[in-house]
Amino acid sequence: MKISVATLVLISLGAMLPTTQPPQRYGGPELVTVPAGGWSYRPAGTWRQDGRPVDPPLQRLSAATPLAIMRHQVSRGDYAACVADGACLPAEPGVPDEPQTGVSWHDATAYAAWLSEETGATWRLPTDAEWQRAAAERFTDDALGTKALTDRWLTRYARESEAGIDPVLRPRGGWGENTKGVADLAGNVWEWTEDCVVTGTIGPDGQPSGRDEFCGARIVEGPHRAVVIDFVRDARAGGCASGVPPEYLGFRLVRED
Amino acid sequence: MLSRRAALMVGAGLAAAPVLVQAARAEGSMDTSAAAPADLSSLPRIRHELAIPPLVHDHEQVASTGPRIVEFTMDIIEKEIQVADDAYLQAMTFNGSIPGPMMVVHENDYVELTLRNPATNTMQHNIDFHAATGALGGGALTLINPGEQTVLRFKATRAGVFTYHCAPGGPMIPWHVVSGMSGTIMVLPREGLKDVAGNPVAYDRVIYIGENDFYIPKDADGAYMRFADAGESYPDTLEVMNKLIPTHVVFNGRVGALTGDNALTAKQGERVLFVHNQANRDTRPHLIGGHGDLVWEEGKFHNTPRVDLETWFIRGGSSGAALYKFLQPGLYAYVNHNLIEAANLGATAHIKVEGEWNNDLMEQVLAPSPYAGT
Repeated sequence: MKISVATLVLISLGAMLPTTQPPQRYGGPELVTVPAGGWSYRPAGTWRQDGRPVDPPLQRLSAATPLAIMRHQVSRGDYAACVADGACLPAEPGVPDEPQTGVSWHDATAYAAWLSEETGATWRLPTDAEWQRAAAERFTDDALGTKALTDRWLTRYARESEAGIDPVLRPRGGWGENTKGVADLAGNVWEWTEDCVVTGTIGPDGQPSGRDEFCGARIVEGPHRAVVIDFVRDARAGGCASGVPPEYLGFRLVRED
Repeated sequence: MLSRRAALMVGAGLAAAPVLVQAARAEGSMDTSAAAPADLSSLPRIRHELAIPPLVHDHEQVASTGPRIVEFTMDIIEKEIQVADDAYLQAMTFNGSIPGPMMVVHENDYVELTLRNPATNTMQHNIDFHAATGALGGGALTLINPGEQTVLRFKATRAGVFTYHCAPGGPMIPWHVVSGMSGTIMVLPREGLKDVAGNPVAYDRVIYIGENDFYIPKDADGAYMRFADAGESYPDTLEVMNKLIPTHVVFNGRVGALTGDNALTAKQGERVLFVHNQANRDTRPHLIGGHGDLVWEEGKFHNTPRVDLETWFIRGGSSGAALYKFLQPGLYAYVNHNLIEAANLGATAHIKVEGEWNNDLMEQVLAPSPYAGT
């Protein structure tokens, strides 16, 4: 499907030299401010109650401060500036106005560190809860309801299959904005979040009573929520043992204020 | 991404033309008119409309009559198809599908195929049935130019699933095959299938998998090249083919043809006959979470089937068959168990199976949870 990493590196180096913009030493990218307030949050992960797989309860979270999040996903043009500075590894080349795809969680966090250095602000990936807060109606709740194990499995597979995702990349803004003014959520580029994989327990009261984390894989958000190993740049493959993989991997950042 | 290069088109024309002429001389001139006629006028005829894979046309498993002449018609379609999100192929197909449709007859039936090459096509084509006897499997009697049709009749004397493919001569043979021109004919024993002890066995449905290895050239930027027609694609494709490393290994013509929205379905307790065709390259089907209850690995039904197989071997240039009764519900993956080819190059199908979980067969005794000492 994809060209080899070695080829990619060569192509990127070769192709980018003439087109690279000088690093944007500026205040930072365009932001959307999600006001303080509450939002619904469905935790990610595998949860069990009395040993049976269940959906974690829908929680009501609230924040006293606004959330500053990039209006757009980090574009190839944005990312190229970090590469030109030697702070990011070369990634898939393409149109500067397209989202930067083919990036791992490590690439995304390296970019965040670079951008923080550039702007003097603190940039990082959003948590899954923050992503849901900003995504609002673009978040796809993946609760499966009370079902036997097999039905949960088949329901999830069917839901992800039926999404019918257009594989063609769109330029910045191509998927429109949500009610918060955040662009391109849940298009075909999944976004890395800070969250690790969670295995949790739901207590008799129906509330989370325990959780364990594994941080070798992270939650990515898009048309459906998925778990991707942190060093993977292309989760899409010809097929997979089960489930529907993310079409592209990209990211956007939040600014800590 | 559309890499149409005028210089290459000229090259393609020059490279392809002599081969076509040579093929026509070598194989297009044979006929059978001088031999004694076969009188089949007393045999009943039946005509089947072909189904689009993975489906198979309706058929009896146990023949209710004596031998018949079974008529089929196939149109050869040259067309560009998408084989992955970012890759297109100038495909050549039997009846528009990859694999070509499955024909089902019984042993000692006569297959009578009308093969048509529409005038809109650009190349000569023919058909070589591995199930047939003589004349290069019929290839020497069926070479047709665009705008021509031919009718071939052969007696299905051996029972089994057999590959058929286009074989128009020289380097056109592998090229037409890796462009999609292959499929399966299933010749059932008149009394149907039998298990190891010789007892009759039946299937509830057939799932027909055609596996293809594709060799799609890339441009200088590493993007898959797209061509105006098959001829233009030939020189670059040949270069990739001759290195023997496919860019795609897929079931039923494209990545994802049998997954996601297109996933197959079955019910717990259903007996499914998986028929797997690979005309060019060895493969090794495996049903993740299941087995081959009865496997005719070489695909020929008068051999005793093997039982309880985990993975079976399909020789390049053959079809094989595996019968499995789904015992447990859930999602199954049917893969080429070269897992690089399955996961990264495309050779995966999914089967969604409904039913009630059986904890006797398998139970999660302890869900994943932390343990002391870590």
